[in-house]
Amino acid sequence: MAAGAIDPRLAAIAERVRHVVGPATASISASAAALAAAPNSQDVADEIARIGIAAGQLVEMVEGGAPALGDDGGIEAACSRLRHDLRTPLVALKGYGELVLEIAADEHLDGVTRELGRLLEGVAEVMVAIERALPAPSRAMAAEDHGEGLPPLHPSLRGRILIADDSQANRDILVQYLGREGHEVAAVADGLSALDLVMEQPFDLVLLDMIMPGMNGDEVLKAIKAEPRLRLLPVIMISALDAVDRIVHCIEAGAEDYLPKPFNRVLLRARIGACLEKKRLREIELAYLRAVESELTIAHEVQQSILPKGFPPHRALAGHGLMVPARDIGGDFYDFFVLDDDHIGIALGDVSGKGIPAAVYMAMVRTQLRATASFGLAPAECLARLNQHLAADNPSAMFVSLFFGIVDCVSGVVTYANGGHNPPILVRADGTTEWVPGTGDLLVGVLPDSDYHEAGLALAPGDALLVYSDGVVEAVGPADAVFGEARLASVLSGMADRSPAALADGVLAVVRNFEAGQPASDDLTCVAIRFLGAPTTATANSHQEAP
Amino acid sequence: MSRILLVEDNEMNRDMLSRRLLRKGYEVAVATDGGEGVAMATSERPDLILMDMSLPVLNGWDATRRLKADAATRHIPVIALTAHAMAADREQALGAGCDDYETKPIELPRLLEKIETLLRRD
Amino acid sequence: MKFSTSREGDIAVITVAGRLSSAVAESFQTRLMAVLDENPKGVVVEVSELEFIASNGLRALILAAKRGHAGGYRVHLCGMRWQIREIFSVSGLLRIFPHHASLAEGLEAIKSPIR
Repeated sequence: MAAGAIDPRLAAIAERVRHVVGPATASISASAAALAAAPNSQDVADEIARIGIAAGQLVEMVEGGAPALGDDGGIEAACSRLRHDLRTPLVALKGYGELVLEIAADEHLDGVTRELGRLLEGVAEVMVAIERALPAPSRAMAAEDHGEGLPPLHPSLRGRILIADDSQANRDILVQYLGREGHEVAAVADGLSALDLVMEQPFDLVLLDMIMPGMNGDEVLKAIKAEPRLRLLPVIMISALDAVDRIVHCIEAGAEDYLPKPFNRVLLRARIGACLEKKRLREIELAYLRAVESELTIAHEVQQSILPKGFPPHRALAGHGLMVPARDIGGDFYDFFVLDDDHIGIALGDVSGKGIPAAVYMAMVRTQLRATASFGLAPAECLARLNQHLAADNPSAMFVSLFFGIVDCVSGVVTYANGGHNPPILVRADGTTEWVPGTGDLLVGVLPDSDYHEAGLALAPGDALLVYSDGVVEAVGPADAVFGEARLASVLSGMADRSPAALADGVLAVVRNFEAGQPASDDLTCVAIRFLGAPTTATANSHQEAP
Repeated sequence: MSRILLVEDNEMNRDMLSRRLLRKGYEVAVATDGGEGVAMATSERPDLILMDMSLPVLNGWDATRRLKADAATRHIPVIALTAHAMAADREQALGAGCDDYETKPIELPRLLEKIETLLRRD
Repeated sequence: MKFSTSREGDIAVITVAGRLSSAVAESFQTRLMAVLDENPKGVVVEVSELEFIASNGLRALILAAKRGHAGGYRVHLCGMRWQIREIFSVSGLLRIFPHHASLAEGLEAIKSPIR
């Protein structure tokens, strides 16, 4: 002991040791004494004597004065030495205690056995008390301060980490080390506390000791993985190297990885880093999927908003439109609008592509078409103008196949233009079907200055016209069978007397039936109109029905 | 019968551990410092070495390094016995070539498992 | 969908087989454009094994045709099955893409163009 004033910090440490470790030490002394007095102790007299000596050494150190500052300087070094010195008699106490226990068991020395049990409990208590009084400073970290450490972590690689380990020493090492790496760290000493904490606060990673009092590491792991909202929380098991079976079991139960004790800094950083990275990537993926979902929702809403809400009521013309979107919103749309008292416009189009771009393009087409038509322009001219507008600035080469017809509700004549769309089908009142000849014109929006031609067809009262998209004729059934035009024609001729709504629904039903459960890859769209004729001609007409 | 060389300078520790190992059926030889440990390992070729890390003459790390560098003794598994439970000491022990480690006070069942694992390995 | 390319001198020959659905259309477009990046003097697309083409696939071909227009070549289609030909016919695209019954005829047409 150095002469002169004692460093107050060292005095404080000594006091702490006395206070925290003292009581447990006293119980060891008592046990050692009781051992010596126990029956049959003579058979193990030597060993018990050694236990007594070690107990005495321990007491002396605990009750003794403050540790001395050595040449290596520093409070930490002094504490480290004190810790080492205190543990030395404990090694002997535990070692001899267990040895005598083995001998006593073999030779049935019962009186001794009981006291030994108490002694060994006392040893365990003292060890814990020493850890509390003198937490192990991390000398490894001290070395880092002299520039030997790993490079600092990028901020985006840091996270909130929960440590669950019953050893104070381990907790302290991890808290200090991970704290220095820039992570936010919380530490608990048992499984139940870990579970409670993880349920109420958000963490990015849990380091879980396999063996703890109360709830074991693998029980905590199971509880975490059973909780739906913690499904993505990565858990790393901490274990001694010899627990391979249990490690495997934990990984099968959902642990990300394991870390062996003693902790290797490089390994710790690498494995924690990998876990946090994976968690981040999973979260990004989830966010992306959610965004895709919302994009589809927007596209769907745009599509729904531009569809007409009902066929304009007219005494001479009944009609109905139907559009069933595929999951990915295929770009179909239809429209009907009144041009004047006797003229109604019917349009049906299929925009290339899917999702929001198709939906936006679709909205543009529909608006433009209505606008040009409302100026009284003929269908071919409308398509030509639309084409100019769309093809002019079109780096992505989007296009729309478009059928546009204007129905003269007095004569039943439909003047139409068809830009690359499926030919519609006429269903005569007597059930015969006719394909409406195409005009041979190109898809709208591909080439500027394309020509568009017009043609006409005459509807007699009771005749119907079905305009449809390729979602109908290209529908695929089992064994890759395709619905096709022929089937559509034959189906329609059997529905000749149905109302437009029933016709459209009928087509939908037949197609779905044909698909027999296969998912539709394209929107399914059709518009059916029936010319009812002027009131004077619709006398004993059995095909007369309400629009 | 497997032969273990125990290199430990503290008399009580040496006595207590060697007796316990004997009771478990191992043959035990002892050395009291690092230099003696290297010499005995070379001459007796034990099946396994328990090496205390803080030894006089030649410390445990250096003794282990010597043994691992020598073709004659390289294959003998070495379990470090460390007094400190700190990361740096463990890293040092494993870095010196130790095959495993145990902290004092020893948990005998665990130590025995480690011994058996290493003995079975060869 | 199977996509492969080869060269006949300065002419890029692209073979597309299977179903060109919208799911693979983007990949098709990327690979098609990569071929065009090499500035071929002519382009032939062999489609005798092509069963189906989605509108995005048509779009990719239209883009190719536009590039060809700027680069001094046309995109020829060879061996179209009747379903594919229907699609091109109805959409009016047959006017934009010269088409032939077989690859041999297509190459012949490019090498000795008839005005």
